[in-house]
Amino acid sequence: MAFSAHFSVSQGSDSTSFTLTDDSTGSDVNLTTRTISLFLADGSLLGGAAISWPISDGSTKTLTGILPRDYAINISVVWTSSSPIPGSTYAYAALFGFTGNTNAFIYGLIQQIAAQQSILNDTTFYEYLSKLQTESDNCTQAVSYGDQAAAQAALDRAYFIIQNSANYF
Amino acid sequence: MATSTPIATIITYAKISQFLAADDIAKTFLFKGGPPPLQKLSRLIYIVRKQVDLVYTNDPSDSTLDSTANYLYWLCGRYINQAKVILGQGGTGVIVNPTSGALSSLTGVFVQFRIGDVGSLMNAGDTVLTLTYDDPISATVSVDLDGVELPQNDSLQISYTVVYNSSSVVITFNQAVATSQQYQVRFLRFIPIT
Repeated sequence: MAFSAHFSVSQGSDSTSFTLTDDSTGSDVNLTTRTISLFLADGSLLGGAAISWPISDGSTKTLTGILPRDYAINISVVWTSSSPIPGSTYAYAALFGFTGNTNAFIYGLIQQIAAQQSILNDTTFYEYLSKLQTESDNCTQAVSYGDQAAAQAALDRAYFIIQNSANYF
Repeated sequence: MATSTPIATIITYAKISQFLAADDIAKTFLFKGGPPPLQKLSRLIYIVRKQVDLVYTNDPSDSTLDSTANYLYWLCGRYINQAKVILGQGGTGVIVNPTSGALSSLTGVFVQFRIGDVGSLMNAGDTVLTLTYDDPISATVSVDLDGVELPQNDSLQISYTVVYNSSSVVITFNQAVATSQQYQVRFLRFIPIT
């Protein structure tokens, strides 16, 4: 049966990491390795270089601490075979929006509200809390339309608020 | 700190409450000519619900989740009862299976057979009939023999006793059934609504 390359991505509670799962269908006994490329919106590679994913590593690969902040990343994985099977595909790419850092910051704000509800009366607290949630949602929406630039722009606006949080919260 | 209501349920209530709150806010603007005191409420419920949902999905054992979920439940406040009615969990005209707590409907079961016929559920000489149906309702079984309703637990004539289980009713006759007898059994059971 022809080999059809595919992977999926998941992000858990650690907002600096994510996991790729190789859920390709079919089989190719001559597969030698896989290579992961993480393309940012400006076309550069996150980390500066592609990442090796040996077949011997199994079907999952966790990239720990790879995200210093939230990014919209076009993830490309290439499977290498010493004897490719006709009719097979050996590459797959998809856009993913990682919003873990933004959402973790929003959750921290919510905990502050839960502890002291009068904080909502603060002049800018609620306004910028709402903006952060909006930008997180904007990223998700842009990714669903395949728009990496818009997704990253939303994350950049959220990142600016977080980096200057003392002015807003 | 635990939540009195499961967190998944709180999230469901919040999904409904945010729209009920938005409706409330719109009506206040329309009929009272100005913003309501809790103008932010709908949006706030949405934001808190999204984040609680994310944390609950990624790490259900997070130590802060219970307190935040309780805060979300408080935000939903007066909309919880309306949310329950919308979900079919409250108000009038709702049937709940008391054993499982599941929203349910009722359906009748009717079984008829003649001893000795092909497909009869009992053979001559048997005394026990087991009918396998989920969620039978207690005290609803009735048995007719040749068109006459049989009493329960009567030592002076043919009668029967019933044991209700979660997935069956077991009818035990005090006399063995005989060839050519016709039995009709009726009872009610819960059907979960999905």
